[in-house]
Amino acid sequence: MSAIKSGEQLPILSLLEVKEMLFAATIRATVAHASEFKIQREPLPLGYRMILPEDLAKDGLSLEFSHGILLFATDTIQYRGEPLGLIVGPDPVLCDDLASNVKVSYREAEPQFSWTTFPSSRIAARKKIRIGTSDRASLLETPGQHRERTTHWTGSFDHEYSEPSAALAVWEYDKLVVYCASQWPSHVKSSVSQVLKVPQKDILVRPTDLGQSIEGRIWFPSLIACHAACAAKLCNKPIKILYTRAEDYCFAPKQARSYITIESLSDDQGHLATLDIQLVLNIGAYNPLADELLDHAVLSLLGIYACPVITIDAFAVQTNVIPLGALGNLGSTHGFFALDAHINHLARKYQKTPAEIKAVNMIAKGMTVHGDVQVSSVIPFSKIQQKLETMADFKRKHASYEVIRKRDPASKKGIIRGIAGSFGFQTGDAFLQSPEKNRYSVEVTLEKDLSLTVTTEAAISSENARLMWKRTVSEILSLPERSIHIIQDSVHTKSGCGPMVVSRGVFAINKLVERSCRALQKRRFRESLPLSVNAQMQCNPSIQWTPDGLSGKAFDAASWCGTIIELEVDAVTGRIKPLNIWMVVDAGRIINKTIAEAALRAQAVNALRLCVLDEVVPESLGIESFLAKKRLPFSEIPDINIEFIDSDRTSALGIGELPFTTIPSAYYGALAQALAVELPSIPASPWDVMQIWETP
Amino acid sequence: MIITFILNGMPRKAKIRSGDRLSTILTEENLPIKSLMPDCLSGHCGKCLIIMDKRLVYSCLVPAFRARDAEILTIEGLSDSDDVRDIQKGFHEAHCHPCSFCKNAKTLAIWDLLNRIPLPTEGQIEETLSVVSCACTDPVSLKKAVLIAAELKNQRKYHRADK
Ligand code: FES
Ligand code: FES
Repeated sequence: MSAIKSGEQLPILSLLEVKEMLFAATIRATVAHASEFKIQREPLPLGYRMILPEDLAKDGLSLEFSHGILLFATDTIQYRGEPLGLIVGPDPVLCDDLASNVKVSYREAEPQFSWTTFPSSRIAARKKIRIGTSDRASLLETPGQHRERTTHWTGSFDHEYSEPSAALAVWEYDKLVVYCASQWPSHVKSSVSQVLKVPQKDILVRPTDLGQSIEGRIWFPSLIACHAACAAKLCNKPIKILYTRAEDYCFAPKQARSYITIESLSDDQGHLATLDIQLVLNIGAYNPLADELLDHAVLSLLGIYACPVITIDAFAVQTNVIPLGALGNLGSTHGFFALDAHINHLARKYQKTPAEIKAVNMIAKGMTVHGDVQVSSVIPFSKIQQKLETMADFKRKHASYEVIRKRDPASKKGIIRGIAGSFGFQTGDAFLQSPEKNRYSVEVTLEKDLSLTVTTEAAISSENARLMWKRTVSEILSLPERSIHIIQDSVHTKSGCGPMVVSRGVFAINKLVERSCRALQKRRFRESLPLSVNAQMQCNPSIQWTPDGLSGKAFDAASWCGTIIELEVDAVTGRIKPLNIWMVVDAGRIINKTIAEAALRAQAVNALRLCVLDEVVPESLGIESFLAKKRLPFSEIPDINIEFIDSDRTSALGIGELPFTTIPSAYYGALAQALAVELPSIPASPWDVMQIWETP
Repeated sequence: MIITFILNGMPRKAKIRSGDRLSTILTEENLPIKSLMPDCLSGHCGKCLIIMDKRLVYSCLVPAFRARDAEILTIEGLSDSDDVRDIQKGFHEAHCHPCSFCKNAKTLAIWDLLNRIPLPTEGQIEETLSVVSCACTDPVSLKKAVLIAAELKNQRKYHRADK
């Protein structure tokens, strides 16, 4: 097996097989917390082998994976399902069987599941923001101001990968080749090299079909790749680890839960005077991206409202459940949802629409907000809002649903409807904490036969990304798209490429492709073919944290989106049915409208899943919850209508996160209108709806 | 117990134990079937779809003994057919790119739909596509792919010019 050639569909690990391949199954902790444990080595059938941490140490391999996280637990157990070792052998089913029957004795400890209150020893990351004040205590009411407080929860969700988590490690002469589906192949390479203690040049990472990963495959595939690599080293054979679907559901990371309280002071018109926010993210046993998650959640809570005084206390808290982390964007969903829900609450209090409250607080060009953030471009709020309201026939529907509700507040028999909108953004910034995550590179080669190859080490997250890059090449060099090939190559450079998250890396690569093609265009008729151009870029964040908040230009490279959702609730069964979604987007230059719309719709469906499906309960994940898990069937996906507004910005901007920042809050608003009650959390199940109605 | 059945037009024998699922038998090494990706084993994901006695079924939910004397069709049995080419063209033209994990299941489900209903309604398409669970495809492109495939099939069937 060699590097994946252009035009070939990437392989899936379920079908990848190599000669003499063995399988590895993970031995897992069966308790959520233990201060000590002991694994019994019992005789295994011929051809099977148990690999435990001490075997790695004996062979000089490192147990350290990343951020102090170990490949296998050694002293303590942090969550039920934590890897303790591997069983390797020729039959995957027998390996699974043997792994689940390994006897482990534990000195059990009380599992720590609570997370809204926590001791400081469980804080994995913390962020404190004081804008316009040095002290929370100074947020006192003045005459004419009202204090309002709301509390919001978001649940945990499964990523629903196409293929469950997997990795295959194969020796090719003196190199170890690792096949896996990762959003960040460079991280796989550096992790495996660190664990095996070999130079990075001796590790090749070959991509397999990533499918939809929505930020779940940033670091976790590296962990499985390390497991496979260690086993391959110890057994000197190719090793495949392929989680079963139930195993993936129970033990692969899920979305972090959040608990947010917002207290505001505002006047009768809804002008915000202060915002005092507390955010807690439950990140499970650990998460190497805890700081990033917290950063993005806090950024989204700072939001797009010009509030002079903002205090935020944010915590990422560890609990004894599986690692919990990003989904759809890096923590922003939580913040946008809570802030919008609070605005909805104020609107209700002041008898205004949420859009009116947003309009009076919206940041505007020329302002300096959030400490020292210059707003130097126009915020297209009213432009988007107008178009959106027309598309959705919003005003008429909103008014008539209000009238119906007021006339018959106790309507418990029929179908009741709600409609609401939200407004959000996605910045061009990716990772704020470590620069290596924002590095991207491509190599573009124009061959003698005028075919062109773009090679990148970044994960190609979708076929649509390929199409977009091809379109860019084709526009600049006037080449037919069929002669352009996009290849994701084995990772081999030192610098590597940062992770591809929902949409940001895609646009960074597009910029590099554009830059390389322009360079090629200049040399094309002066030099002989083939010609190659390498381009690299480091996307520096446009914002920085300061002691007084933020500084930089957070909104200049932002894409903007307004979303309206209309839904109905069956008053008898409590069943909620989304009917329509409308989205209006300003994302600069749209390279290919069809592809952009398709990408937005696909992510909109995922964002909707966060609202309509049951949340995963990490404390009690098991085969029963896997079997009972609900899916969003195709036939229940509502119509999704998308429009782009003409933008005077010439660069193409990311769009993939926009549904995650706007859909949950619009859904929540629509539900609040239909039920005439503000729910504290998403998702809301029919059961929650019935409970609300039953409560006098 | 040994059972016999017809798999993609070829008579086959399989040794089964009670409690075996058909998906397990069909994915055993001695059978030339690579298209099934039994995943959830609970009738949720649809990645194990087959046509059994002309019906689209989840093979993970069928007890293996029920396959006795049955006629089973998988995508391998159709891979060279015009119908499958139409569906692939539909995917391509609609910019719909199912991953390698679900592509066969989606293709088989669409093949079955268009075989039964040459001009499916939107509701029928949605119902069919609901049998394969997928959280990654744009629903509009996927529906469009089915409509394109239906149109191509009908063009061939009625010798309509490809204009
Ligand atoms: S394996 Fe049969 S439906 Fe999932
Ligand atoms: S499961 Fe394959 S595209 Fe979604």
